[in-house]
Amino acid sequence: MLKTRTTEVREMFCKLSMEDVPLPRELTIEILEKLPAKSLARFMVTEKFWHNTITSKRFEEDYISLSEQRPKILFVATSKNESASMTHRKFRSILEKPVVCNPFTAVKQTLHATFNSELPYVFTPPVRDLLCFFHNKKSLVCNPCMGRFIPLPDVRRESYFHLGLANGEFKVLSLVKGVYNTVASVITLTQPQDGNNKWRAIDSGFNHKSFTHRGFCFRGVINYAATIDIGEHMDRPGIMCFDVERETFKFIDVPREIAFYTFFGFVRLVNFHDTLAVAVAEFNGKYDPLTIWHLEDDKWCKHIFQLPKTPTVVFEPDLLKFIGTSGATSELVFAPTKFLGLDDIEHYVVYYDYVRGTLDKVRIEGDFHGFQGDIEPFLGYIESTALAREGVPC
Amino acid sequence: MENEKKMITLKSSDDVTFEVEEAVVLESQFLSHLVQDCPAPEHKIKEVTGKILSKVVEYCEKHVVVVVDGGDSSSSSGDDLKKWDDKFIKEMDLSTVYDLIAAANYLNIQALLDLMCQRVADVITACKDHKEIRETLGIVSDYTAEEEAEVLKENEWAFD
Repeated sequence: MLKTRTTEVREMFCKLSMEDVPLPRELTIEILEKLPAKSLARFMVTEKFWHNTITSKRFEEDYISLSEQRPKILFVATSKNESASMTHRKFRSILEKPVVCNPFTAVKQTLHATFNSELPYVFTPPVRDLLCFFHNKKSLVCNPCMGRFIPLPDVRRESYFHLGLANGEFKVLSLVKGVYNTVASVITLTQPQDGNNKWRAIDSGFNHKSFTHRGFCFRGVINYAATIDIGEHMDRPGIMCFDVERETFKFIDVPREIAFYTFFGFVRLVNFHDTLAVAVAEFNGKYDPLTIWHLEDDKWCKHIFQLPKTPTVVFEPDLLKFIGTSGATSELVFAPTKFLGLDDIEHYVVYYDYVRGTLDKVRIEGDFHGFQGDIEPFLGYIESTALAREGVPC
Repeated sequence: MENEKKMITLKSSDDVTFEVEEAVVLESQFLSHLVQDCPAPEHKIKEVTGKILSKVVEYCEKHVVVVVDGGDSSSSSGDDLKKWDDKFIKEMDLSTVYDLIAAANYLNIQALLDLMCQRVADVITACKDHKEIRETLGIVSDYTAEEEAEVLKENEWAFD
């Protein structure tokens, strides 16, 4: 049944003649909610009414609640121009695995905006629909499917940034290396920005160091690799967990078996059956098993997955990367990290179900022209219209 | 087991009549209430033409049969239904789709409304620019040339 919103819209616009319009506006809104964000960006140019509708808070909330039912894999391509003076970030996404899969299953790519910058920003993984970019004293939050970003205010010192989401509210955590400790501060991203957005200093409670931009926001907690100072110039590796709502920190030691250099070079924090997990995927040019440690009642449990080697093209080590588990299923997801712009080469996302021992390949449709460079794939990406009103066009 | 199923007659705005089983009528929230509140054998639906009502009836009959047969809603019947839906919408022109959206909304048949809206969404997704979208939906722009150029620039990336 139509929502009350459409009744409001009907009342607002009942004066307008709709004789030539095949569909009344309240029904067109039903259609808008089913469109990819890119089509919404085009739709905004049709008429002022639609511009105002699509950029409204109300529409943003309705759209994202539908969008969350169709999680995607986001690919970010990094390339530079010839003189290396500009960095280009291109975004594409595909739907996660369809329910019914056969050898011919394919998914369409959605092309998102390109973010060009003179600064060589690094970026956090997407948290729902947004990513945080930063370099030196500059930082911004970007919605790639709307082609909009907002700069973060008052970044005074070179920091590492992490994006977090809890109860529908985004916060950015900033970490600055101080003389004795890491200085943490946090800012809430209220929309529209009301001028009261300010950084607040918070005490992390741990003398820790962290130099990663690859935090993992999971169930309202930002998790990131760090070391804590245990005195006498000794550091202990672990995971710092920042509760986004309460703004408190916790430290978890990593399993002793994971070597220091491995932890800071070859692990990925992932969701494994709705628990926080550390995935160790050291490919080293051969097919090493995938090791996953997941937290159960504050204890690490180890799983080793011997991946099938056939068909060979599937686990070309340079081409596919483990990116996490698919929802609550027993499927491990592997996505390409390179796209060759050649028409006769096909690219796949691979789902390996370790319980059933089955392997599904989902072909990515369309060409990859212009989508070269280093590719990074991320699970759990959601399209939204966030920042459509207040953001700066990419 | 009842051998005789209760039949109900629906009459369109242009007086075309359709005799359908009660179960078919129950697919529509609006008609379910109507049938409950007013136990007459014939119901006139002034807002829907015979052409569109025949499509609505066709859709509801198909969906009732599958749900009843499926019982445990096995995936194969779900697949068949999806194939049937795909064929059902493919054979339709857009103006029929629009009329069906209005009818599904009026009669409150959510699944049909979703299916039809998705069809239009697919057509709009395939539109290369705002002009094509305007043509598809009969939208008249109220932007001045300057305003349009500005909004176009903001969303330049979406036009390739």
